[in-house]
Amino acid sequence: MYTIYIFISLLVSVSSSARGSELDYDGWLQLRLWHAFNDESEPIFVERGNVTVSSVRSGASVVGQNGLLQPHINQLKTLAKHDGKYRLKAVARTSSGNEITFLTSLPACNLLGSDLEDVITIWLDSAAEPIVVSISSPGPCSTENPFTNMWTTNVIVKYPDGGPVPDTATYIQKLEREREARERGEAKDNRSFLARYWMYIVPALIFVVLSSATSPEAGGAGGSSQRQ
Amino acid sequence: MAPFVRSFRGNIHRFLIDVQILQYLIILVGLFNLSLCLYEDQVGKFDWKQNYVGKIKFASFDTVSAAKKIIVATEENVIAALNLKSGQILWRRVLEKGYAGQIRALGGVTDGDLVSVSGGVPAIVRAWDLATGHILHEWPIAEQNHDRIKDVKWHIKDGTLHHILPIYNSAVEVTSYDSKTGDKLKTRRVSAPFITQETECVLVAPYLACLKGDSSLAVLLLVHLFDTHSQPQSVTINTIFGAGAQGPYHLESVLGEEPIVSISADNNQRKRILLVGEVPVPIQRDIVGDATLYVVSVDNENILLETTYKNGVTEIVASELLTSKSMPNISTSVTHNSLLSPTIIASVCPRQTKGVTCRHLLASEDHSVALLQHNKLIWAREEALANVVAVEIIELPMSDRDQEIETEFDQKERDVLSMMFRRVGSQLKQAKTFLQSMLSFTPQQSNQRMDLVRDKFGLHKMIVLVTSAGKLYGIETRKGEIIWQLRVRGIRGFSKRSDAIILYVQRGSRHFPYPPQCALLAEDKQTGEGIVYTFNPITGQPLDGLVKLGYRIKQSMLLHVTTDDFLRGILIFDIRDKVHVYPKSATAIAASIAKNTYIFTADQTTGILSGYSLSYSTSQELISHKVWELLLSPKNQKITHVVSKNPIERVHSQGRVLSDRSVLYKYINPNLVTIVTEGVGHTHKNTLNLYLLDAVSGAMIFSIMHKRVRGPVHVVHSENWIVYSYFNEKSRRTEIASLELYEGKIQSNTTVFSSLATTKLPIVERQAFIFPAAIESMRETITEKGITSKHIIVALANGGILELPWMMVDPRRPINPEVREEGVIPYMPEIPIHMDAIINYNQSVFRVSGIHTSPSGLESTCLVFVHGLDLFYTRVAPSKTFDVLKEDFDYYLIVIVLAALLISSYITKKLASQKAQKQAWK
Amino acid sequence: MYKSAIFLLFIIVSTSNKCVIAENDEDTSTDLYVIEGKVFPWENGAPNGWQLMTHVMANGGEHYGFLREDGTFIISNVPSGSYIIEVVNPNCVYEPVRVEINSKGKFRARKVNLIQTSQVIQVPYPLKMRPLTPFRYFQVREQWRVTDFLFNPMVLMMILPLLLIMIIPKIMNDPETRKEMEQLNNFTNYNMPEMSEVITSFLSGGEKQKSKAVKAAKKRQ
Repeated sequence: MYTIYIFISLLVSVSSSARGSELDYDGWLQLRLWHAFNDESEPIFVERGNVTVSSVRSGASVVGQNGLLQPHINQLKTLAKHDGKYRLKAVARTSSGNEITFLTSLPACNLLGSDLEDVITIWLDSAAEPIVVSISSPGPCSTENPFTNMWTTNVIVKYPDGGPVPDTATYIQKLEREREARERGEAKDNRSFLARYWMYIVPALIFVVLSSATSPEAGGAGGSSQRQ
Repeated sequence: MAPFVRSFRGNIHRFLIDVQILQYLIILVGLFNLSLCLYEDQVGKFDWKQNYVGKIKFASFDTVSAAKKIIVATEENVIAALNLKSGQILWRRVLEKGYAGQIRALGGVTDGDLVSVSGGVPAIVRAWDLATGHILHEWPIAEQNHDRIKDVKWHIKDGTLHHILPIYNSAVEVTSYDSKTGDKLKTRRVSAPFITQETECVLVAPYLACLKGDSSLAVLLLVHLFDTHSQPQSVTINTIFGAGAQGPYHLESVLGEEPIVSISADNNQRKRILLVGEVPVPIQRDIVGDATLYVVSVDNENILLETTYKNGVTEIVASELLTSKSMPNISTSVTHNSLLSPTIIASVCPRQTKGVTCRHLLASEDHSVALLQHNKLIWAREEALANVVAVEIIELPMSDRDQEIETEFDQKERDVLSMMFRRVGSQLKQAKTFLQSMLSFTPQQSNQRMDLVRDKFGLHKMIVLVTSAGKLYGIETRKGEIIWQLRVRGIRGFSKRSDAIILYVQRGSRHFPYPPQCALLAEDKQTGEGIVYTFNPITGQPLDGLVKLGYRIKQSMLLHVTTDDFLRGILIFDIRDKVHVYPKSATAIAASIAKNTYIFTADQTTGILSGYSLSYSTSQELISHKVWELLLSPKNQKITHVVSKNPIERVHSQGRVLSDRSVLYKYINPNLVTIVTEGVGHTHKNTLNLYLLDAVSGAMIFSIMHKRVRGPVHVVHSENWIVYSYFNEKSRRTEIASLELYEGKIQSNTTVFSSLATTKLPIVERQAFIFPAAIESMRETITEKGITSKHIIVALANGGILELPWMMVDPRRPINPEVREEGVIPYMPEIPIHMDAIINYNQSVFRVSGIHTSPSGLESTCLVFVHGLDLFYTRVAPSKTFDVLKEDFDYYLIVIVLAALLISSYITKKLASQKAQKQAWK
Repeated sequence: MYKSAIFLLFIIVSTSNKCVIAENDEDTSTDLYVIEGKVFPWENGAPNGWQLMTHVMANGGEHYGFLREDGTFIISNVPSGSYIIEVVNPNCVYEPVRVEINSKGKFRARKVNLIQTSQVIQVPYPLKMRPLTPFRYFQVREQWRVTDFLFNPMVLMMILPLLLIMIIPKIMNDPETRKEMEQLNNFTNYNMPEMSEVITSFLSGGEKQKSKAVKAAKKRQ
């Protein structure tokens, strides 16, 4: 059951990505990442690495980043203890030469819980310009030391799905089929009434004959029971 | 543990299924008689409609036709005739919306016909029948200079329409048309080389008066428009004011029949008037700067009316124009609640047997219109209601008696004896009042109107309306009567957010003895800084009055927690990203929940959306820090809608049962925001993008794009679905698309949804439908507990208001009819409009700008208020009134049947015993 | 007769000013056109001033046309393109018409088909908008009728047995009928076995005799 469901959802996701092939443009995209671990309202950003998406349509990407240093991990742990947020700044450069700054964050404890595994999602608009860079981490909440200081980063590139359109074609086909069926039905149905419905009439007749034959008995039974 | 959990899950599962079945039963019941509609005898029972015309732009008295009336043209592009005696609308013609229907000139009433010029380039000239409002003629007027339409002046006289356009540095071009046929009669060019772009010109037919120069050397130049040979006359400012007047000067034409201009000087401290003619005559008398002027003729003598308003008193001083001799019998002074800095926009003073009686049509600053006749206000119309910007529907307070009971049980002490004493005491009091009312002694002293109390089913409520004029109204829902009105002067809507004014209910009327409280958030007219105005929504009394905040507001939010006195604070975010709380006393409570408080802002011009967290706040001060930021590049797209869910909405059912009895769980994210953008620029024109964004985590959930479609876009966002409408350019039809979000067959968190913990994206079902009418506005119904199925209230361009079941736009409507689910109708591309689902039947409402829905005390019933040019109120029951007996329930029949059964059983008993007796005797 | 005369007149008028209000032809390439037509009232019972309640709307309110006293209307200032013309009247349904104006100023009016947008069923231009049916906004209230009550299945189920219980004993009490019945009984008793009995005997075979005996015993009571 469960696996079937997963299969279905996989199918759905595949089909949705297939449906989403609305992107007319292709191009590259470069993200430079900065992050902040400090537990204050003003972030202090330090460089984290960069992501290069060579083709936005296929989503192929190369991630280059260094491992976390121990002071940073300690900072991250204090941040997680205070229920703080790990902030990431991404400066995106597109093939059209635009430079756009994005900011995203996630609870620091999730990052520790997943041992520095994170997902960077880049959403593009219909013109293949990035509109959102967001970070998420699948991990549970934890304030323990991660067993690695290396990032495990997945990059996902998403773009808008094509909007639905009213499905008139099937409807017209259906109407067409119904009309044809009706026409065919009308063409065939010029036999006589008896010819068409004999299979219903004959059993009914037999039943009537039989029941009429037995009814006096029933009546008698009724009468006799009355007499009781 | 595990089996327990499983069984618990299973229970929930079963419960959900049960709930679903219940819902489907309700739906089925609803389907069985798809008639959502009214019975004919229910007309006007739950609904009312009020017609308005809008802020008056032009007005004139129709003294020519048999039935005297007032013809008005308004800012809302309406031409209407008002009854002289009552102010009721005799007929009303609503022209095109916005720029295309803008009325530029109205005239000819004194000649017995009515000609209007409306629209942009080219304008449309329409001649109307004065008496009935039919159109007589219509023709478009050709315009050569498209960009100069706002400089064109129109003059309608004797069946001729003059189109007057100053041509810079050269002349004034006057083109005359026959106002009926549109034939071009004549084109003249009157030389006026002095007119430049900066020249201030007013039309005082048959002259054009222009003021040139700003200093004391300013000259007033007069051009006769119909005499090509005449030279411009010039009058220096000094001849009008004498020496010593200071600029800047301001030129205005004086309303009325005579060609007169007024010039104000000394920073609008004083003004003087000048009669324009072959020989201009200046009147050497100072008039106060803030007086508004009107010239009316009485017995062929011109009389100047000066209207001033001070401390609630409107004074109209009349004087002879030329001699300045005051005329006390025409001068009046009125104090009335519905006048606020009024100006006379039309006036007549006919000679009658008793003498001269003047009628003045006064238009106030707050858009209301009033007719003044001889010191008396005959009627007033609240035309501000034609432009409602914010609505709340608020419960009425309990009656005095219920409040007494409430106080009785509200005491903290739980001592038996004292409680009994109190009980007896209050019962005695009740008995006393009952006796008093029975014997009709002194009427009860009450601090409220007797009928303005909460009813059993919570159907009688108070609608609080905020209008663009800054006037607030309280309207009760039963009859639509205006209970109170309030003026807040010097405010305007947020200019960055298309003049929206925000209304919050800080405290409802359930917390006796604390009064209910509403707060208005707007901008100061002068400085653009934020203001808060608090008032009691039931009585219309100001509470804290107008509070100037001293900073500009970027975003605001109502806290969901209350202070000890049940007041919900307002979180205000200023443009420097500082967070404030109103009232200040709520800061501590706001700080206590700051850890989980997020604010997001969307800037339409820069396309930047940012999210802020308040987690670094201390109990004294709220500190925000940015946690996400994204950019919808204004080069490609323009944000048109940001729609979040109704914060009071409740979702009853967490999932949806499929045909195989499994549950598909809804993705119910309260932080989900729909953002709609329309493409800009050549390549992205006519594209529509819709983004679903989590406002807390800043994560994009879903995005969709439509090509070759355009607005108007209307979005409804509720529960786990979004329904939006747009116009499809390719197929040239209005379409409704619908999205529905599901988590899948497993719920990630059964108790509470967290934006930060959920990383899985939802499954999005989608479908589009053809809608066979143009849409003006859409809103979903809402009920107290969310059990009742949702309908969408759609205001149509043809004046109807349609109640569209959400089932009709369900994206899971199967295309293949073999796949059947409970309560799902097979897919059809076109949504039919059933006539009996038009909830306002033939009471068409035009120019709908918004729909407000509110739950009532009954789960089945939702209150609907539609505003636009007209106001309409009704109530709907999307799943039929399953929780009350039908109002046509036949009580008599059931009584008769019961009685008959009782009697017959008694009689048969008798008969049986008789029979038994007889048998025994045999 | 009178109506047709008016109609003729209307056609003549409309053809005589076949109007393409050509913009002053110097620089404007976007010519503006005038859509015209006539709205007919509902035959009987069109209230006075129905023209006032009605207007014509192109593309959901982009352009308006107002009715003259005789029901004719024009919508001026429309650039070339495709327009859905609807008659807005709160009392009658009118079928919308799609009017297409090409860039040369040719008019074509056709039925609106939102599903099959390419299907063309032409209608005459200038438009003649006739009401289809009056709006039915209201549900008809169900009235309590005796027949409805009697034919209610529940009531039928109650009344029929009642009748049987009441009437059959009465009939049986009548001595003549009783005699007749008895005669019938005697007549048929031995000729025809009961249908169900036949079947049961057929199915159960051996027990036939016994059941018959039981039956006979029953009869004799």
